[in-house]
Amino acid sequence: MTSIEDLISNPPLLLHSSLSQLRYLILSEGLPISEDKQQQRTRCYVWTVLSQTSMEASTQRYLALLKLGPPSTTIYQKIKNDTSRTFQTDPNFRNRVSEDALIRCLSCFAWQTQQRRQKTRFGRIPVSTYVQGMNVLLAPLLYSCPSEPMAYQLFTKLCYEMIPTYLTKNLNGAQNGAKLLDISLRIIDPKLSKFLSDNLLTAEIYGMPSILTLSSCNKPLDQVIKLWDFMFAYGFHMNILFVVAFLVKMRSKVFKSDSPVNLLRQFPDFDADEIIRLGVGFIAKIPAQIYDLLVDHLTDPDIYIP
Amino acid sequence: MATPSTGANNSIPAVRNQVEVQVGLVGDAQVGKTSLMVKYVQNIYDKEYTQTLGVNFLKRKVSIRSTDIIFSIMDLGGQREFINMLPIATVGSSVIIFLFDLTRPETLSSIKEWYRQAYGLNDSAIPILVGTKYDLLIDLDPEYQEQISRTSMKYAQVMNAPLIFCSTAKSINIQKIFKIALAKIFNLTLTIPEINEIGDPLLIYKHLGGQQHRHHNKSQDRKSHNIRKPSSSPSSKAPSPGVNT
Repeated sequence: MTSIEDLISNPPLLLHSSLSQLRYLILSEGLPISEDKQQQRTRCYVWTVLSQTSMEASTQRYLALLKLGPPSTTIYQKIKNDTSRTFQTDPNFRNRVSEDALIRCLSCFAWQTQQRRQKTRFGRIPVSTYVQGMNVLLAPLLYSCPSEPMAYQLFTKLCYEMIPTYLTKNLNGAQNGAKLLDISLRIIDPKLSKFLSDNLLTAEIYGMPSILTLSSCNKPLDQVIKLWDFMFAYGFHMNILFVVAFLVKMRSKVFKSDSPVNLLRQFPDFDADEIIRLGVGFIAKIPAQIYDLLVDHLTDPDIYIP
Repeated sequence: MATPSTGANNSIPAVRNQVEVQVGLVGDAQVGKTSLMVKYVQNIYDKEYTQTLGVNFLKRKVSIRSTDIIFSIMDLGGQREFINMLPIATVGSSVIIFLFDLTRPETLSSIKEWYRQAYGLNDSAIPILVGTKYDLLIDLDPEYQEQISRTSMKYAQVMNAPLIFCSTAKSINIQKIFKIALAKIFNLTLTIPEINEIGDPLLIYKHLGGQQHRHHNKSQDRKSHNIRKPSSSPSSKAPSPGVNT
């Protein structure tokens, strides 16, 4: 048994210190990428523990939502429009996750979101029933979890509590994320930042897919999973700095290219350890008030970005 | 901009003009905006990893005599969550291409709304109406083919937009869309023959999309066909992409 498995198999003595220990183990040892069912189970448990997601009655709740059938035609059509286009060029993903599973989870989410709205609570961020990008956020969860209800439960935690501002009807939080990406790149790599803006490339254009999907739109998926291990441990705000890392990795190619614009439509295949190392290294350069904005923009729709 | 080099022996390097032209692509989800753009710029027709999230931006250079034209092509995701980003694809564009799927008539109806919104942000861009997936249309009921062709011709008239049916999968009329765009921006004469026969990949452009005609008939055209005009008073400025000979 690895030290990570060892740690999560016993109830924690002190929650906070055990969580810190787990975070540290993710950073120092990491979880292996493998097809093995047991390994998958471990990863899902670790994500569950780190995000403090309760799996209690998750299957019953999921089944109850499934019983409601398809959501309204408009939503259902919109979901189905996108599920077939989720990682459609990755045969490994398509083998492991069926389109039907994506449709079921997203339909349940639409129902649950409608139910939540009826129990209106003041100040709650209005997460949408379905917006584009949710399919790409759900995909790594279905790919990594041993069961659909567990993936669904983690998905609701992610959407409702961890990045709710990203998933409102106008994606305002993701727009704020783009502004913060512009700011962060200017601080970390001013030369690259100027070069991109001279080429009309703003973060809103090249960064939106990676921001909205927490980098899961980038390839390969197994490396996305490792990036998510880290972000479940240390926070999804790190994603913005990881996008900076993607850009910094490409910088010499971008400067040399005849058509830098065309290079940035899709980031090249990446290595998660490298991106994490770079991204963590950037923290020291980010002023405290910007760092706070990085953390807050995921959950606070009303932040002011200078 | 080339400056004559002093080291040249006999011939002075020719001056090349460079003009940037921005083109926006809008239309409903899954009509094939990204595929068309990638086909035109990179000559690849392949599945994308995911749907478009936000805006795709690609550039392509074409040369006409002594001038290099750089197309900056912006393609906007078709769902309403990205509508805040519509200015990226419209403001500053000389041409806005409105795309619909020839096999889904509801995507043609949506053009009204796309046109209204885009026109509100940029009333001087030349519109082009493009029906995609022509290769799938020809397998459908001839009556349907006739109906969608006639309806799209009406839309093109109202919008004063050239009309082109195309297929990215079968490389039909893709290059021509952008040739027509250039011709309309720079008032060039094209020798490409029109295709008017119902059932064929329509290509109707000669009397549509001209700036003179467009602005002259603008108010009349729009009123008579019930496409709502934005409330702001339209300023009739022709697009000014630098060169106009």
